[in-house]
Amino acid sequence: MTHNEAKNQECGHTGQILDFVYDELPVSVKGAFESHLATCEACSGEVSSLVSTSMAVKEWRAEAFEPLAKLRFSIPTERRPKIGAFAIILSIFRQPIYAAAAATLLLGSAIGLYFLLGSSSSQPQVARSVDMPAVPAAVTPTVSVVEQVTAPEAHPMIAKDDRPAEKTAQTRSERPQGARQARMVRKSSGSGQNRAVATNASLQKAVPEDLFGEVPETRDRSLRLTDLFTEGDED
Amino acid sequence: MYTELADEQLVELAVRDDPEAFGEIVRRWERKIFALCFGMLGREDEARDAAQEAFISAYRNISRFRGDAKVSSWLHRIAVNQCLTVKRRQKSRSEEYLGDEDEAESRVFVASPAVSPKNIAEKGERLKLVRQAVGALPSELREVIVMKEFEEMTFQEIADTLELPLSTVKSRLYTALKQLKLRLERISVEVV
Repeated sequence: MTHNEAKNQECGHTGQILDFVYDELPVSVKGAFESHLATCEACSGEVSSLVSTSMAVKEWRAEAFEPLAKLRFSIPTERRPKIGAFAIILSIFRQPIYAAAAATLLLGSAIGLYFLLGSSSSQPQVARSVDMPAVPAAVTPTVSVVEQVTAPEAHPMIAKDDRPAEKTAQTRSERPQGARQARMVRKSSGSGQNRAVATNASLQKAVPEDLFGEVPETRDRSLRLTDLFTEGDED
Repeated sequence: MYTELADEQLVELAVRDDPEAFGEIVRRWERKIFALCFGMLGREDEARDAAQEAFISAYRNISRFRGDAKVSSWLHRIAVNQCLTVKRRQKSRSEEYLGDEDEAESRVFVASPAVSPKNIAEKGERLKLVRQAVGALPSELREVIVMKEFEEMTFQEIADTLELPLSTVKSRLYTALKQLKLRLERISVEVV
């Protein structure tokens, strides 16, 4: 702290010095302060010191800055592109976590829909899938097996339907008719028990056709292999 | 049309995608903002770039402007931050911004033919010292003295802009002037 500052603090006019230097002192106070300056050496010294420093900066400003001050800034003021709702949604899903969440939701709902629809129409789907000719009818000797399963003696509930007598000669291409008939039987049956029997009957009629169709061939093969072994043993 | 509107109204128009309104804001404040940047950075090219960047930044973020502060305060804050960023970059590059003195002098001073070579030399030397002394002040003192001397803002305006109490602004300015005087005396003694 300089001698002048110490004296300023003593005289109690410190707060007014800066306002006076920058001409921000209220007019009512200004006169009183000017008369104080005339008598207070410390305050007048302080004012002189501050004014000279301020003048040095002002001179620098006038010399260095004023000649440069005729400038025009060119701000890029092109219109900002409007962001639509779709773009906002897209920008959200660009973040991996949201994208993953959305994908999981979609997948989950897809699986849920699949099972929901699948359970409601499972019966016709089974019948339809079985109706598809997986193996050519001429190659697979399934006719006799099917006839055994769907014979009128085995299932009296569907024995008296209007199936043609020459069912044994039925090919795979004619089977949809049989499935339709099974469904009709199911609809016409009144009690739950009967319906269950009818369902079983239609399944037995429809599903095992392919399964049982392989059996004779397998048996034939195994027989042939056995024959070969027996022939070998004999040799 | 735009010249009659207040700053706040111009900002509202600019937010509603009216570039001409922001152009009027730039026209109103470019000189003061440039003065602030010049005082803070001490070099014309850097000050020009900083002021330009400050206006661009203001335009980009104009939608974030809250009406609780004055537009001038908001622009000053952006400019001060821009200048501080420039200074930080200079520090990180370990470059002395007061270097390249010869180039700076030839760019800054416009000599009048009426002035004698001796006077030109003395004046040039004095202004160089002032520039060095202001540049060496801490940034919180420098921004106050620049706002006062270059922009001729009142104490209250500085307080509003920097969001500081009035007493703090006066105290900082007083300290800045005192430090400046000391530095000027020291440098002039070293030079002599």
